[in-house]
Amino acid sequence: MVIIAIPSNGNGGLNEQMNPRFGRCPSFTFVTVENNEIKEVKAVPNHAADAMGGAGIQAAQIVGNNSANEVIVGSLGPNAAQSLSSLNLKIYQAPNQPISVKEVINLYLENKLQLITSANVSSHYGMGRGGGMGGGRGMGGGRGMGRQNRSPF
Amino acid sequence: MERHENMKRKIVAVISGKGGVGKTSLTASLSTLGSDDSNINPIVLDCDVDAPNLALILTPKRKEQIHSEDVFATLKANLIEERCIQCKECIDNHFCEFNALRWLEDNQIPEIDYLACEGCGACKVLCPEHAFEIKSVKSGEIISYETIFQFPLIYGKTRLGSTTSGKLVADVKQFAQNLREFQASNIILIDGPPGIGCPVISAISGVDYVITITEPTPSGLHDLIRTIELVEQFNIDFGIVINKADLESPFQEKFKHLIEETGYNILGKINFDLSIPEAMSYAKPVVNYAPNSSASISIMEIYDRLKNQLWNHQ
Amino acid sequence: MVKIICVTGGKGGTGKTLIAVNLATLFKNHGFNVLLVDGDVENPNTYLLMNGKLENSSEVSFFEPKIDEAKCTKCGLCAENCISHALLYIKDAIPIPILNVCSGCKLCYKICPTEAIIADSRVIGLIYSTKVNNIDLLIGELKPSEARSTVIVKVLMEKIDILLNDKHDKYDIIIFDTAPGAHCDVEELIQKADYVIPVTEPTRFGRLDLLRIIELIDLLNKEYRVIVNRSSLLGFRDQFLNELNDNDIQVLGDIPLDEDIVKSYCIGVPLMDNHSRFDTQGKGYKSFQIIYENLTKWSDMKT
Repeated sequence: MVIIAIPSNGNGGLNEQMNPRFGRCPSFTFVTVENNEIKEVKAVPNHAADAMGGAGIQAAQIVGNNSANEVIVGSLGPNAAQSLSSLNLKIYQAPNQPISVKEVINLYLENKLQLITSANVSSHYGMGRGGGMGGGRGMGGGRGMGRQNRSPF
Repeated sequence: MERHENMKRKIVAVISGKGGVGKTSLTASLSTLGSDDSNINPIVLDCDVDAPNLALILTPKRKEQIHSEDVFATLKANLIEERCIQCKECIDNHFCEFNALRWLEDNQIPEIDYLACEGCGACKVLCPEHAFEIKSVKSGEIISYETIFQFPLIYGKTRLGSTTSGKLVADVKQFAQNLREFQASNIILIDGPPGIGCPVISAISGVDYVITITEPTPSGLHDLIRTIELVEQFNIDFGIVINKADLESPFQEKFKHLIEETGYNILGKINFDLSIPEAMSYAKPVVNYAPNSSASISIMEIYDRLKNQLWNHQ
Repeated sequence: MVKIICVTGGKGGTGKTLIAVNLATLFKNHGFNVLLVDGDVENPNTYLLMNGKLENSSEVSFFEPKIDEAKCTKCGLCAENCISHALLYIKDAIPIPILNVCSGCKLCYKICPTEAIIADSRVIGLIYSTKVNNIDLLIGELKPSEARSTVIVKVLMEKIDILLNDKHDKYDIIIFDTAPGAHCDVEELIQKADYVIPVTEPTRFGRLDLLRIIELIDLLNKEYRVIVNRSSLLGFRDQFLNELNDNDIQVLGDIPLDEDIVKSYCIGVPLMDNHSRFDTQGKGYKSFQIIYENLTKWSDMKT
């Protein structure tokens, strides 16, 4: 049995769109998978979204506190990446396009998502060795989906 | 350049270690070359938040459309005097690791050194009377507008005395991600701060490519090596641009030799050319002011090589 | 009484280090005991302009919390109170330090009810102490990939404080070279100085950054006089100096473009060095002499 955390829009759930930003997504959807089937779905608001700093770290705590083993993400800042990595969570890369939680879980079940191993998390998400400060909000290595504030024109 | 169907957006940061070697000038020219190049749709960020200068060259199309917002990312401690019972525990037990607390003999209360205070919150937690609070104060501004070259410029400017340059840099980058132009943009260009510390780390965090500018002098070389050490720690692809490459100096031979020895990727060389300071004095990118100058030709070559390295090595 | 002069400037590459090194050289030539402090800890260059070496280093450490797993009750109090969120805490698990964001406040170490947090540390930089051509050099250097330059600057200032208190006769003049910008590292150095010299160039960029650094200097209530470097650039000298005059900004002097200056910069011999082979009638050389005269008058240094 595996619990997978997915950053989601709105109140979360299978039918919601996946949110590209890990630390500041509105909600997390936790999907329990067993025998390649979805057994349970739970959605939780992301209180870290309004945090002034350390949103990625706080979001990782929410993910950990809900017993997730794995995470599917769009973009990930260096601090969030380090946090998830230190919790020994498997990180999967979502495709660079708008996608619903249900669709991305299906891709996961079909083994079509790239696994980011702990060895290359740092190069994948632009982290440094040694202490750095400064917000750690990298632009996710160009994989951000950035669909906020989309102009209607 | 070949156009790939799924051309991924690339983020490029221009840094230098040493100040004054030409980051702003190069970024300005690369950005206007990008704006003339169909499909590129650049967004330009000036992350030299302690001395933002790009706005002097990349001026707004319409002054009324300049958007400015205050950023309140700096935390500072504040004493709630009514709660202080003058026990002096904060001083005696060294609550503050940043030496921002001192005892005022006249009033017999602690005083907070605003500039030294890092807003860590230790005094708030440790004071038995809860006489300290932590407040957000203005750390700077983010200003954005559409430039006369038809692309957005976003820059941050720190409020003097602020300790959070790095955070403001991160906020500027975040602001760009929320722009509606972000979706269609294929290059985000960042004019970085000098140095290798917190704001530079924040600027290069998560970027796809770093351009590091140097000049053939002892300081230029020294600072280049330190910058490369930083960039390599972050595992980011980079290319070196040598400005004033043909500078007549006794250090030239040594510089050439050392650079060649290292085998680092040289993105390009720009020979000494008065067109550059002239263009700057007219507040124009040199590729617009003097497109046939040797500097402009070199910069156009750099631009093409950059695109190649960004997309053909995917 | 020792006098502290801070050479700064806001805009990068205006020539702060060049000027700081040559002023130090001039004071030394006139028999003063000089300490040159390199406060541009991200990229200290002073010694390069003097053929100096980095030696006699002492380490600068920064706090790192380390959890003693045997004593940790997994209560999460440390994480709960950490404003930086530098302790990642999952319920009933041992907190994990996220060192990148740790501010070094040591609060976790102070409040842990079972003393399960050890005050560990790592080296984030070095302080070098050396002597070149009879000038003492104190240099701060941040380790690449470390972010906290201000810590190194603060250690430099502590060393200066010790000098001022215990060995107040050792030096007649202390000269600071700062980093570019107007951020807290620069502020720390300006704050300690008696006289501040912003270095600028006669361009609109120079002007913009000069006004910003002046704003900071005024905020700190310090006296300042400007040096305009590369003053002959593009023929803007007179216009620029007039503008400064119109704005009641006092000028210590200006230095024109001079090939000897570039040469001195590249071979690591200060232009104003006593034993240098540079032309003492050169434009650059003479302008430095004028600046030195004006500086000694302003700072009341008796030769």
